[in-house]
Amino acid sequence: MIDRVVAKTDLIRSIDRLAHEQSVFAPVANGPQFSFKVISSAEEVAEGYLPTALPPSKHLLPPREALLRFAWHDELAVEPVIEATETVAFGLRPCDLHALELLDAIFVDDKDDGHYRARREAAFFVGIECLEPCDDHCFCESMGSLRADSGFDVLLTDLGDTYYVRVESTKGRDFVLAVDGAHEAVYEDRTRLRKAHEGRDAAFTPRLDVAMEHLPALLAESSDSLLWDVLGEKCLSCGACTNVCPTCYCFDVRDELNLDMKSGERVRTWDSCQLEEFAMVGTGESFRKPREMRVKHRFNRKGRYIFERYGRMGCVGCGRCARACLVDIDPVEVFNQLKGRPVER
Amino acid sequence: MVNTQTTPHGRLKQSPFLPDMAEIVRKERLNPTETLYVLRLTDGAELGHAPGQFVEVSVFGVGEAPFSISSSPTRGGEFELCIRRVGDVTTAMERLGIGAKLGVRGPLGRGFPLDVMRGNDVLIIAGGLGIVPLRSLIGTVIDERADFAEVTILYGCKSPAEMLFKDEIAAWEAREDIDFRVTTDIADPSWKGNVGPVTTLFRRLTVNPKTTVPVMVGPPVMFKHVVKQVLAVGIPEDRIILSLERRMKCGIGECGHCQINGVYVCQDGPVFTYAELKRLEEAML
Ligand SMILES: Cc1cc2nc3c(=O)[nH]c(=O)nc-3n(C[C@H](O)[C@H](O)[C@H](O)COP(=O)(O)OP(=O)(O)OC[C@H]3O[C@@H](n4cnc5c(N)ncnc54)[C@H](O)[C@@H]3O)c2cc1C
Ligand code: SF4
Ligand code: SF4
Ligand code: FES
Repeated sequence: MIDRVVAKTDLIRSIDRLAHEQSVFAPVANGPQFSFKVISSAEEVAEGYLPTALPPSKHLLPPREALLRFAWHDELAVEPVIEATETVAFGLRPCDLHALELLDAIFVDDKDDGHYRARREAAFFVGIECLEPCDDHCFCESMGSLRADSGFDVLLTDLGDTYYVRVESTKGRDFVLAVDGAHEAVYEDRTRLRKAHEGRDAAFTPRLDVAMEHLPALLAESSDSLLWDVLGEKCLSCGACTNVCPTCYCFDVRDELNLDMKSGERVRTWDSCQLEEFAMVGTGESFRKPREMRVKHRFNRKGRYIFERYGRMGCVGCGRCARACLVDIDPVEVFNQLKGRPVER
Repeated sequence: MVNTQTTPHGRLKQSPFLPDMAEIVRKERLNPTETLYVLRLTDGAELGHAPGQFVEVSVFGVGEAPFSISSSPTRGGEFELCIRRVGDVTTAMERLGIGAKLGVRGPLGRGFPLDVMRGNDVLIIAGGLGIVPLRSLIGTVIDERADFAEVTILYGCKSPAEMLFKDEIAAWEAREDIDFRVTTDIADPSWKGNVGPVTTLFRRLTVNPKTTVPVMVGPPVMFKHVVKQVLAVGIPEDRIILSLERRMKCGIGECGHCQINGVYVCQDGPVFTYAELKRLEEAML
């Protein structure tokens, strides 16, 4: 589809109009941090934000989500809860777009999970390219998720006073045509885009000592590495890393009764493989009791198991887990140490 | 994103978590902790399972839990679960009466490889509750007895009191075309049979490694010992069949609870060959 260019002020005005009409979800400043929120005016949007504490994908898989509703009136009635609100998600970073595409591959393509899919289909994604690294923790370049080529309706690139808008869907075209003064991208615009990309490519340097394609093999042959013991001693099993990860989606399922005791919901809630009960069975046996096994499991999911099953990496290099970890367990260091860098205890 | 309205988009595929409805047709207490439930889908459809598969059973308001289907598909119509009371769902089920409605999702998972067993000697090894899924297989083997060569069943339980399906066992024992042997870890005064772990029964067998397909279900310690024994007599790794139990929350390869390294027990199993599992350290074999 035809790329467009819009003035930043015009786009902001357009977002503002939308925010009054429907649900618009965008990054806002939250003290020194940022988070995604439903906004009521474009003033709230934080431009140039750092990765939000919680990734936007958690809004497709919320902390608590009803799956079924049941009630006993004359008879037991059970119905699925498949609900979604039309939502514009504004300002998604490429790493987060990659994470959403992984979730799509799992929840839509493989599982056909109507609960997720309803929200996914009701969402309109406005991506925004990263032109410089956000901090010392991000390593998206090494995980192949610095560049977004799909998974959005439109993708913005900051060109100073204007945004270059790549359009990927008819919804995206309608969105950009509704922005005042939007014009077709011409040769000069494309040149400025290329310059921006060249600047970006120079600003991001590889952070992993191992090519992404070799991570699954590296992890497979590192099963006996002593590094897991070192990490197991450090890790607090708090589960913060999995809570903030845009590609973590493991959940628990349980029933909740309403106060009338005659109706209730079956809900799924976030769960974490870092907690000991996660793999515990009736006999009291936990199949991943030692902490080092749980840490190893997380990194294997990120760099190996998910890839082996779905052909996409289970880690997008956003660095959120490293920022959240109280004892500084950082995937960049973990992967590099497995590759042979010395381990500092 | 607030969930307020129903999506206007696309086909509204129903939830993978929406169960079919079933009712309890019959209930039989087998011993203080185990009860046999005979269920029927309320729409009259057949469950359509294969031996070794499981269902997720819902008691609404309490929760959902996975249980092996214990009856043979060759018996049709109704299906049976044998359930040990351990927690919320299993306790709630005990309180339900005849005609009570339950949710059932399934059949789920991969069952026993009957095609590998047909024409071969079948060696079934059950430890404790492992007899529950194996009973489905035994029923099929008996009903299609001519398809299989030698059939041997070894069953080990903790004590004579814990032995399940005593009437059926007597019938299996009486058959000429099945070699059935049972043992208990500890005897009581009434017990006249073998005493010792199930491995002691195996030691007394002569098995032909070229034609035997061992199929085992039991607690982790049983796998450790019996796998060693069948390997020692020369049965190839890809013909050793076992069924594993792990914590399960979804049964469809989503929630992550049942994972053994990269494998989902609910979806890729619960039945596996030893060859598939031996390199997975979390399989604990
Ligand atoms: C494939 C499969 C087949 C099974 N077949 C049978 C069967 O035929 N008969 C039978 O009696 N049991 C079977 N089980 C075990 C049964 O699922 C659990 O005992 C049941 O989930 C407990 O549910 P609850 O709500 O009563 O217990 P809860 O109140 O949930 O928990 C009680 C205890 O059980 C543990 N637990 C929770 N979920 C599971 C789980 N999925 N598996 C094991 N332990 C769990 C908890 O950690 C806790 O310690 C099977 C399990 C699997 C995975
Ligand atoms: S955030 Fe850090 S300490 Fe907490 S579970 Fe994850 S790795 Fe362990
Ligand atoms: S593992 Fe860490 S760096 Fe990788 S996607 Fe998850 S939070 Fe981001
Ligand atoms: S039970 Fe949820 S992934 Fe297997």
